[in-house]
Amino acid sequence: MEVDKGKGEAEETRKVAEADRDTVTLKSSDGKLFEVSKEAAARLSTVLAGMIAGGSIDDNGTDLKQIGSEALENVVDYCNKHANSIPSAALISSSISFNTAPFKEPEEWERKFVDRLSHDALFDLVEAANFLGMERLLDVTCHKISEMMKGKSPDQIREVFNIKNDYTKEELEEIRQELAWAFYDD
Amino acid sequence: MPVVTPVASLSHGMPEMETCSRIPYLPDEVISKILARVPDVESLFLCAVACKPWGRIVADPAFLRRSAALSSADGGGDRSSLVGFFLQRRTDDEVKKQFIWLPRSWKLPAFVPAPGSSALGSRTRLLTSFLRGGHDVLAGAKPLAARGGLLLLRLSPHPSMESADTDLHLCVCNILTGKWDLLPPIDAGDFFGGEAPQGYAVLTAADHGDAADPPLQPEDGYSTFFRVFVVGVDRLDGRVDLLALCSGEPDDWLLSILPLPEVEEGFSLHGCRGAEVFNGSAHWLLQDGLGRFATINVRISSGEVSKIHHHHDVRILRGDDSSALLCTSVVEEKKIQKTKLSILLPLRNNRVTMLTLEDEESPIIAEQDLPRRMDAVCAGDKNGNTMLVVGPSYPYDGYLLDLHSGSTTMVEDRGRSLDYKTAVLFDINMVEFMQGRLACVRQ
Repeated sequence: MEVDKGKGEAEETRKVAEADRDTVTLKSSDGKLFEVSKEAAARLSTVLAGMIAGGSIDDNGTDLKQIGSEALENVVDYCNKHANSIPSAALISSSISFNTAPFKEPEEWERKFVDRLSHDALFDLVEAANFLGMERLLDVTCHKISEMMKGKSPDQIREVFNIKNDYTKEELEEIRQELAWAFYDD
Repeated sequence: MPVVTPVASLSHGMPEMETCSRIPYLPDEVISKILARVPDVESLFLCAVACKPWGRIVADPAFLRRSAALSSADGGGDRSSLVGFFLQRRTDDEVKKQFIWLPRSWKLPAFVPAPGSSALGSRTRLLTSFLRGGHDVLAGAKPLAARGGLLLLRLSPHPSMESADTDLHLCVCNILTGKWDLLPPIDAGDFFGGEAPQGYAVLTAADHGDAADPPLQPEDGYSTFFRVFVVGVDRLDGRVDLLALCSGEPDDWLLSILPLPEVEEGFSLHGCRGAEVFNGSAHWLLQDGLGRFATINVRISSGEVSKIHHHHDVRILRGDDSSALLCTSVVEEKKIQKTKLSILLPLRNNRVTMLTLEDEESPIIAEQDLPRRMDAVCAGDKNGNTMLVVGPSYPYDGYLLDLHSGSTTMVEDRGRSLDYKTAVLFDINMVEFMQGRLACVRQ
């Protein structure tokens, strides 16, 4: 009984100490540490929110093995910028609404934020946002990639996404014909 | 304000992780999210060409319904709306003077996108550019009616056709699938008192509602079923003939003749072509040239036919007698939007009036002044506003008029080659259009 009580108190103290800290430390796959506001992390990432609530945040750096330092830096940067520019919790989106919620156009600062990224950095950030359940960041990065598709040929699209053309010659001819019929004059 | 800095770097001095492009791994739902935001329909189609998994994502109707490209297109996502019109080119002497020779393609019906429209490109193009073949058959064809991506045309007699000259040859082109069907010839001598019919309708599976058994429309799919109505009035005895042709196996075309009430003397389907289809019925306008109107109404599911006379004040209705057009208009009543059967009536004083046939007390819905004397050719709906194409007499400029705002937009026609009198407004459902065009990648 006594022991249990003591353990409970210790837990309590640790939780209080944790709650006192207003940042969390995240560790990238290549071992770099980043600090981010706890409030912003919990608000913008369903995964981090879950970890914070579940007490699985490590003071010495929570391991995010799937995310490289460059992407994680961008994630943290986004969280902080977001915390500064949008005070309300209006943009919290739940993962349930994935793919069905109406899309809100990126804000000016969000546009600038993704515009400065290199091609690889952008894709890394999409992956990171998806992994961390950051709905808004995923929206903004996907939107940027969508805009990049405009006017690209299938070959260029394949190159950008590193995907293989798995259509047979015949299938490709058929679908090309449909494309011509749909959009071009003869 | 939180600080953004790497507080420690364990990898200090280590080589950069990577500098070259690696294979991005994005799960299907992220790819779907990206594709759903692709801004225009053509780019989206090109994405579908990139690889099979992407093709399947794009061809999925649920995806298409939330696609930004489709909801920004004129089709407005999963509903039909006006994207342009089909018409013939002019072959009169004025046009022959302008051109040293007319190209072979001159005889083919043309598609003209509505001004500001982009869903099907922004340039005038040939009907055959949407179809597999058909160049020979469709030369000289005249558009009669259109609905839900289908276009009904009357073919001009072709030397290879083994039939009498009086036969009526009809063709239904499906712009959604690129296929076209020749209808069995109709011997006009047997119907309509030997004269050409004046009213037509082409109807989709969706127009037949859910009542059909077996259902015409597969769940979450597109049915190529269609039905064609042809109406004519015998001027001598007022008898009305209505022929219904139903798609099916080529040898198995269903032809039925529906009994119609006779029409009083003086009434005719003058100038009438495409039916106004709404609320499960096809409607044609009968007029007597003295300001009296009646409608022939055919219930699509049952074939039930009725004729309704409208007793409006003749002084209001007395417009430019013959050029009234049947249309629908959306009226707000007690904050509820209602669609009503209406007519568009160009008046002699450069005004056009829209009157509902359902309210004889206060029928006027909208009135607009026109820049000059114009004829109404056809009426359709674009983004909730009723539009009409007006082609005045020579020099034959075409305009789209937005009746609600009163704005007129001139149709781009540099060679003044378009014969607006033959125009048929064309509406399309972009979800169906993409589904039809991507049928080859759907498994």
